[in-house]
Amino acid sequence: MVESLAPVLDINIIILTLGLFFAAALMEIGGGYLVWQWIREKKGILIGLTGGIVLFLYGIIPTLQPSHFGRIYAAYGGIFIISSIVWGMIVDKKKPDRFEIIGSLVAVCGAIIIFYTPR
Amino acid sequence: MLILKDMTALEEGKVNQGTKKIRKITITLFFFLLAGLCEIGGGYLVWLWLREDMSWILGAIGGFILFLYGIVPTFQHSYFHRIYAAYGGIFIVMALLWSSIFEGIVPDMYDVIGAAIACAGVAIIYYTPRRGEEKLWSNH
Repeated sequence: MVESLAPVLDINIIILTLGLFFAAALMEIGGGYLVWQWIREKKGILIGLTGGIVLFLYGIIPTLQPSHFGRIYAAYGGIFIISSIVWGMIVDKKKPDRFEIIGSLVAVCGAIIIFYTPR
Repeated sequence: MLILKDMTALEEGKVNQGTKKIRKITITLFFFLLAGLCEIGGGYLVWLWLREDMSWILGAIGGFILFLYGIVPTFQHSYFHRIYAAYGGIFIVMALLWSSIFEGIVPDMYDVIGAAIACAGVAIIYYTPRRGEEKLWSNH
């Protein structure tokens, strides 16, 4: 595992980290969605517990990232925002409105600055 | 308790519009911060287990806290995807704070600028008033 990002980013690192970020987002939002189904939509507790396990597995993914804890989590927040909107589109069939699209693009710019600025 | 009281007052329409808005924002921020604390705290325990080679018991506790984290957003009065998207920005700020407190890694200038931009995005997503959605926050 790479211990810190190189001063000049190479494309492989970007692909690897983005893949891990999206895998984490899929598991976090999926797990959270199952818990939501249990409590808000009154589905069975088994669905909620499955969500809990998925959330636990989600916690493992950021440990595979080549940076320090705070920065990985901070940048992940941006991916998470986009993924939530996409999740709403696909799973809940909620088309994002103008403000959701503009807001998530702005937020992702912030996340890119945090994670991919060469230091 | 204070927050529960606030919510009841809100639902009964006992407070005026301006105060209502501020209270709504305070209540939602409280739940966002609570979720962030559980998620980052739980994730950090898993991190200590796998990256810092500490006991698996920490990892298991972290997993349980992550489960609890999943419950917190269900207290928010909005759509699933919008709650989650907005929470992402709060999460960015809290992650940077967490590592400066627990790991002594002070956020650099790019971390701070990026976090501020992300928060602006979140405010647009979550707090823009939408026509036809005035009741979304007071009714499930």
